[in-house]
Amino acid sequence: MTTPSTPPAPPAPPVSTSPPVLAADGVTLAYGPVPVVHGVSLAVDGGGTGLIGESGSGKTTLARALLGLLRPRSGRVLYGGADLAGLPRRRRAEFRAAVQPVFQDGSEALDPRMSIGASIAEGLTAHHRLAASARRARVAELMADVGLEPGLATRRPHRLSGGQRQRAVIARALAVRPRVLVLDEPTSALDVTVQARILDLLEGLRAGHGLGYLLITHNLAVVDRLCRTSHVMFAGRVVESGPTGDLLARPAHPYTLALRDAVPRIGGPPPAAGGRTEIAPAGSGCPFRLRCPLADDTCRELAPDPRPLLGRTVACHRAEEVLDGAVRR
Amino acid sequence: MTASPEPAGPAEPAGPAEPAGLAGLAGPTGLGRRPARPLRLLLRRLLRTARADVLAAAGAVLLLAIVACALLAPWIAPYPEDGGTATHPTEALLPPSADHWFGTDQVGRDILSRVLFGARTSLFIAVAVLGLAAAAGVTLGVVAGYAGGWIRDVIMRVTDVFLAFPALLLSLALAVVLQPSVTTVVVALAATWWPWYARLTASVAQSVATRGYVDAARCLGVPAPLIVFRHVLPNSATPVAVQLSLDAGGVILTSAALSYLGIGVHDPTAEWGLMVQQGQTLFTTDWWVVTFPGLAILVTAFAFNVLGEGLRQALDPRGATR
Repeated sequence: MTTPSTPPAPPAPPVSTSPPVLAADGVTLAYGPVPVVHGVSLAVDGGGTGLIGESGSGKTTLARALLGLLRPRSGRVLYGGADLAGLPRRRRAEFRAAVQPVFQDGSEALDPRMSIGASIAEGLTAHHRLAASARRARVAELMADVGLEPGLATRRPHRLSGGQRQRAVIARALAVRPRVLVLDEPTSALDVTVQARILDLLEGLRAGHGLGYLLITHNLAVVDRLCRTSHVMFAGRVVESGPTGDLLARPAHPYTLALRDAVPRIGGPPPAAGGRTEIAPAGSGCPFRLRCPLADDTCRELAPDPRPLLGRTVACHRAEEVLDGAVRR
Repeated sequence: MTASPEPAGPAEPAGPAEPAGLAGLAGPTGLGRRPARPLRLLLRRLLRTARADVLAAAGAVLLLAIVACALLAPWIAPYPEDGGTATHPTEALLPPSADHWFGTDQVGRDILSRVLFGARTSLFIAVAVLGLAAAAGVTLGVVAGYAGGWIRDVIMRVTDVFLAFPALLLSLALAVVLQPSVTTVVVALAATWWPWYARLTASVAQSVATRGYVDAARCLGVPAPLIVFRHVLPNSATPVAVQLSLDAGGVILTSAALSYLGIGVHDPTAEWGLMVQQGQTLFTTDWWVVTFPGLAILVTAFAFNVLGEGLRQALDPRGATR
C-alpha cells in the first residue's frame, strides 16, 4: 500500500498534564441484552469535543452514561481521572454540579408546569441554601447571561419561543457553575437564524465560564464551530476521531465522508439519495460494509480495528484510499 | 398552545417590549410554581370549556346542586328529623303528595328528606373511598413509575394480586369481617379501588420519568424524593384527576350495592342503596319508596361521569388545541 501523499498532520491540540474533567474509557452500554455502544473512549476538555453520527448510532446513550444517568455495562466513566462508579460521596456531589446536560427541544427539557424562573432556580437550592432574594438575584443574573429578559421568569415554557426555551435550559445548567456541558443536539429543533444565535451564545459562554463542551449532533457545521476534536460514531462504535477541521476537510472513513457530503449546500450538488441504510450484523466484518462503496472481501471478513493515521484514529481497512479520494459522489 | 388567549411568546431573542414584561420586572419575580393569576386563568379556562362542552357543564352544575343538598340537608329537608331516628307509623307508605313530595316509607319517614340526607352519606363515602384509594395508589404508583427496576416489580405484583380479586367479592369479604358501618364500606371499597390508581399512576409516572426535565433535575443533584414530588407527581396528576371523577359514580353505585346486600350502612342512617334495598319488595305496590333513591343514585353517577369525561377532554393537551 502506498503512503498517501498528504501534507503533514497539523499540530495536535496541546496536551495538558492534568486528566480531563470528563472522559469515557472503553465504555460499553446496553439496554437489556443488546449492546448499543461498544467500548468507546473519549475525553472532554476545554477545546470542545464533538460526537457525530446519525440517529440510533448511540450518541445520546453515551451522553447519558457520561452524565451519570446510565451505568456502563463495562468500561469506566472518569471524572477528573477517577471512576464515577467508585466516587466518594463528596466528590459525587461535586460531579453532580460539574457536568450538566443541555438536552434538545426546550419544551420537553423544561417542566411545563414550572415557571422559567423556578426551573432556572432548581439547581441553586439543590446544592446549598439560598435566601429567596439572593436566589432571585442569581436567576436574573443567569437569565441576563444567556440573553433572556428577566420579565420572562414568570412565564411557563409554552409561552416562550424555541430559542428562548433553549436559553433557559442553558441558564438552568449554568446555575450550578458546571465545568462541562453535555450538549445533545442543542440547536436541532431551532430554525437556522436562531441556531446561529444559540451557537454565538455557547461560544461566548465557553470563554466567560471556562466550560468544556461535549457536543452531540448530526450537524457538522455546529461541530466545526465549537469543537477542536471530534469523534464519528457508527452503530455504537467510534469509526473516526481526530481534529475536527481535518476530519471535515479530508475524511478518512467513508462514513465520515458520507455524513459530510449529506449536508446540502446552496449552489452545490444535491445530497446523495442515501442508498442502503443497513448496519451489518455484529461479529462479522466491518459494520459499515453494507453501505460502503469500497467494501471488499477483507471488509466482509475482518472488523477493522481503530488505528492511527495522519494525526487521527480511524477504523477502516481502506482509509488511505478514502483520503486519496477513492470515493466519488 | 393555541388555546391560550394571549399571543404566544415573541420571537427570539427579544423579550416583550409591552408593559407585561415591565410588570414582571417590578412585581414578584417568577420563582413560584404557578403563574401570577392562577384563579382567573382557571376560571377563564373553565368557562371556555363549559361553552364547548355543555354536557360536562350540566354535570358540574348538577353535582354542585347535589353537594348543596347534602350540605344544606338539615335546613332544606321538609322533615329534618326523618333523616335520623324518627318514625311515624301512622303515616307509613303515603304516596307522593303536597306534604310528602316523594311519599313516605314503611315507618312513615318523608322520603324526600331521607334522599337529601342520603346525599351526605353517599358523597362522604365517595370522597373518603377515592381519597384513600388515590392516596395509597398514587403514592405507590409514582414510586414504582419513577424508581423502576425491582421496586416497580414488587409494587406492581402486589397491585396485581389485589386486582385479581373480584372487587365486589373482596369488598363483601371485608365488610363481613368488619362490622357493618360507613367506615366499613369506605375501607372495603378503598381496598379494591387503590390498585387501579397504582397502575394508572405508575404507567403515567414511568413516561414522565423519561422527560428531559427529570433527567436535568437528576443531573443538578436534586434528591429523588424531591424530584418525584416536584416534577413527576404534578405532571402525572391530570389522568388521575380525570379517573377520580369518572370513578366517583362507580363508588356510589358499589356502596349502594353493598348496602343493598345488607352489609354496608344500616338503618336509621339514610343511604340511597339501603333505601332501595328496603323498598324493593314494595315496588309493585308502593313504587315511590324505591324509585326516588334509585333516581338519586342514577343522577349522581351520571353527573360525575359526564363531568369526568369533560375533564378528560379539557385537560388532554392534545384535546386542548382543538
